[in-house]
This record gives sequence, C-alpha cells and structure tokens, in this order.
Amino acid sequence: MRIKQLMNGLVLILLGILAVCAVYGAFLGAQQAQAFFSSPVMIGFWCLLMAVLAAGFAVYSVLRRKSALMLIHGGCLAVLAGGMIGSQKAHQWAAARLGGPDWTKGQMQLQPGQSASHVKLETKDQPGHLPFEVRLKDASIDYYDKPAIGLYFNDGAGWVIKAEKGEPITIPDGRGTIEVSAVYRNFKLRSENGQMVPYESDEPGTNPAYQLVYRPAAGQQETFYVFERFGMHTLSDRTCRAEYIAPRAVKDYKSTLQIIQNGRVVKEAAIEVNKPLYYGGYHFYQHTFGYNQSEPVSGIMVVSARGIGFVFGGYGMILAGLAMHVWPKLFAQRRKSDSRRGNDGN
Amino acid sequence: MAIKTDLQGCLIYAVMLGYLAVLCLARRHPKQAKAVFLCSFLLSAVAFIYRWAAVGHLPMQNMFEVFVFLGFCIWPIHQVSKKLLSVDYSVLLMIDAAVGLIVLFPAGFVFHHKPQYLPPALQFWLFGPHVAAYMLAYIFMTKAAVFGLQGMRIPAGRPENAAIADYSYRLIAAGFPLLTLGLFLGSIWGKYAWGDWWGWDPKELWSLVCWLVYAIYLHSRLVWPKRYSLHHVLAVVGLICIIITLLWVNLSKLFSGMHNYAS
Repeated sequence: MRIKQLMNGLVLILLGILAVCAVYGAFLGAQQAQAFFSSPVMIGFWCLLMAVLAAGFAVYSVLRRKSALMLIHGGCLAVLAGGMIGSQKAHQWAAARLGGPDWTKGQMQLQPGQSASHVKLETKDQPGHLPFEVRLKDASIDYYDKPAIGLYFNDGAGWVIKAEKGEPITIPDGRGTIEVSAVYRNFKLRSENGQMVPYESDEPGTNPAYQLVYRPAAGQQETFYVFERFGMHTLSDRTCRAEYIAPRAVKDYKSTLQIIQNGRVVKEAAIEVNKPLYYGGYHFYQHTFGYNQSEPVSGIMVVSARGIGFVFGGYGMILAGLAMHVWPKLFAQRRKSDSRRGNDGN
Repeated sequence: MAIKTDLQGCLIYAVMLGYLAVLCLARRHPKQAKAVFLCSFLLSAVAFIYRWAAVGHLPMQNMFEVFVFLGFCIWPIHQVSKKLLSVDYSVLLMIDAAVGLIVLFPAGFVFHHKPQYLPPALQFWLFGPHVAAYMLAYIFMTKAAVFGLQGMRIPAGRPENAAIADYSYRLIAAGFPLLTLGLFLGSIWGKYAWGDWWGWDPKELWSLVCWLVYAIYLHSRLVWPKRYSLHHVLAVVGLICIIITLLWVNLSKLFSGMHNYAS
C-alpha cells in the first residue's frame, strides 16, 4: 500500500516536472529545446520516467490484468524507448560498439545528374557516409499560379498577359494588339544572311525567353523579347515596357532520386514534400530547393529511421488502449445511471 | 476588429445570431431552442462548405478556417454530450450555445478570410484528421472547464460538487483520446513532412503540455477521488493551456516555429 502511495506521488511529480520543462522548452525555441531535452539531466529524467512506467506494471496489478491499461502504459514505454533508440546519443553509442552510422540527420545538395554518398551533418564538420550513392535524376517545382508578362505603358496603364504562345490580344484604349508568338527554353542568337536570328538551342543550360509581337493601332509592328532572368525590356520608341512575372505560389517541390549500389540503380522514386523515399534504414526528404545559375539545386534531407517502429507502434498501443478503456465505459456508465434513475422513479 | 460584409461573413453572423437565440430561449423554451440550435448547425455547415468551395481545399489552414470549423463542431459534440451527461438539458444547451458564440467571434470579427494557397507541407491526407481531432478534443475540454469553473464557485463538501466533477470528468475522458489522436497524427505527419516525429517546436511542446495536464488530471482522480476542487482547477488549467496552444503560440512572435503558417 505504501509503495503504491509512493508511486502515485512519483508519477504525478514526474508528469508535473515534464509539463513544466515543456513550457520552459517552448520559450527556448526548437533548436535549444532539443538540446535541453537531450542534456544529461534530462536523459536521467527520461530513464527515471521509463523506470517508473516499468515498475508500475509490478506495483499495480490492474496494469497487468486490464489489457487496455497495459496497452496505454506499455505504449508510453514504447514511445519513450523509440525516442531514445533514435536519438543522436544512442546512434553514437551504437556506432562505437556495433558499427553503423553515428549520425541521425544530414543534408545533401544535388543538381540533376549529380550523385553523392556523403551527407553534411548538423552535429559535426566531418560528413556522414551512406553505404550507397544517391543520384538526383530530375528536380522541378509545381506552381499554383502561371507565369505571366506585364506590359507597362508610359501613361501609367498596365496589363498582364499569359506567358504562353497564343493568339493576338487586343490592348484596350485603341493601343493595338500584343501576341506571344514564340517561347524559347534556351534562347540563343545566330547570324543568318547578315541578320541576327533567334533559335532554340540544344546546348546545356537554359535561357527562357518569350517573343512578343506588338502591333500598334497606327504605325509599324515590332518584335521584341522578354527574358525570364534579365529584367525589363522596352520597345524601340520607349512607349511600352515588358517584364516577366514569375509564378510565386509554390504547389510542390519534386525530385526524382536514384539509389545506386555497386554501380547499379537499385531503386528509383520521385520524392515530394510529405512523400519521402525509404532505403537501407534511411528516409530521404525533399527539404530545400533553389537555383544555381539556371540549374535547380535540390536539398535532400537524410534521416536515420532507427527507433521509428517503436514510436509508431507505441502510438497505436496507446490509442487502442484509450479507445478500449475510456469510451465504452463512459457510455455504459451513463446507461447504468439512467436505468438506476428510472428504477428509482418507479 | 472588422466586419465581414460578404456571404461568408453573413453566414457566420447568422450562426452567431442562432447561438445567441439558443442562449436566450434555452431556459424557458428548450424545445424552440433545440430547433434553433439545429438550424444554426445547418447554417454553420453551409458556412464551412462554402469556405471549402471558395478555397478549393479542406478549410482548416488558418485561424479563420479553424474557428469556423470549431463553430461547426458545436452541435455534433452537443449530441454526444447529451448521451454522456445527465445534466439538465437547458443548461447543456446554454453552455454549448455560449461556447459556439465564443468560438465564432474570432472568425466573424478578428481573423481575415482572404483565401490562401495550401503550402506543400499541408498537402497531406493527415491534415484534416490531425486538425479535426484536436478541434473536437478542444471543444470537449472547453465544456469540461466550464463545469470546472462552476465547480470552483461551489463550496467544498456540497453534494453538487461530486456531480459537477463527474460531468467534467466525463467530458475530459471523451476528449482525451481525441487529444491523444491529434498529437499522434501530428507526430506521424511530422515524420513524413519534416523527417522528425518530434521536432521540439513550441506548438508541439504546448500540445504536450495540454496532454500532460489532462494526464495529471486523470491520474489525480485515481489518487484523490474526492478532491473535487483539485479536479476543477486542473480542468481549468487544461483550458488555459489549450488557449495558449491554439492562439498564443500562433499569434505571438515569442514562439517562432514550424507551425507559423497557421497564423
């Protein structure tokens, strides 16, 4: 009885301490909070919490008798164990004794066609190594909005048209028409019969450009070019300027990864935000995305998957236990108390 | 504070008027109040679906949408509470209508409702279940705290205290699995989106605080079953933590983190 009272008090104190620490951690910010909860004192706390949870099974027979309570408390133990197994310190401990990676998380920056087997780590300067190579086959961004071209006239009037090849568009106020007559992904110029002529180049790299034909209501038509990467473009008489308007609302970042082992592609998958690739004990995430010159640079985050089975298994146990323990009892009690009241009334 | 003059705003104000009418009618005309409550729920469903059509995705992305959803959840939870509690029906109606009015006020007058694109991280099947589980849990816990507040006003030793503590417990016991589900679904989603099932983000930590407060509540009921005043205080502390998690963490610059897109 005394042991039970002691355990009751201890459980409440530990839960209270954890709540206070969590409030403190929330004010620190994620990075410092992680360091705080991984500090030696907190490791001691986690161990104590696990020990008390385990001891609870010995002290309270109800935790062994009732499967729902066993699931809830066993699930908590599994989640804590999973967290410890997946931690940086546990990785270092295991690497020193059993081999394997001593890191949990790192990044690699790849351009299409590049491959790497080393990972830049957050915790130390030396890179982490993967037992296989990762190659970026392709990378792209999907947008909600479409690219456009803005037309600005000297009198302050302005219009936006779609940046795609199409029919002539009438510009209001009798200003004539404008037409996107050609779209180039890699715009280049060459000399033909003494004239510079644009063409679509097969050479590496890109230089996206749009050929616009402006036909004023009076006067001669003029052809000019708007480049995605090179600022504002003006008509020869300087009455109108045009500018490329890039899409901004990102819908998704995508990369196609290949896993190469012994020179052979053993796995290929397209990863997106919320859709990682799993291979060889690691998860590969679409993390960042940028451009170097014209080439996309995909930031891939590599995370060790160790311990995750315990965590998710623990979640399942806790939820199953709670659903079994709480909800049926609640409604059954209400029915019982109602029928009691009914009998009393009779 | 701004008044919304479009159809979305009108729908929200109509629901609020309905809840206000329920509040006024509940004591003397519970039958009429019940009918008005049902009509208000149907209107809130229209407001929610209208928003869904307007933004083209499940409307739970920002504070405005979350509070519209909370207003929509009031009636279904009222139905569950009716089954759970043997409290006077008009009292339950008044509590639910008051909670409905309070949660719709920020949607009607505080938060902007300009449609936003769904960022890549939110395009996941767990988005709806994660937010919905939390919101349903929050309403159960809010109602439990209302009973807790009522219990705190009653002197210790009075027989009503036990009944009120029981109502509070039943609501917390119904909401706790949902709160747990919300936490776990968020954690699983975090693993898919960010690579971490737990990222020590301020929002995550405050969610953990909420969960721990209710875990302490449930354990303290076993250890001290008759200390009703403690149970009432913990139910109210739980609600304070929920308000911090839902509002302060997102609206204050004090807690910058990965959940800031909900601001």
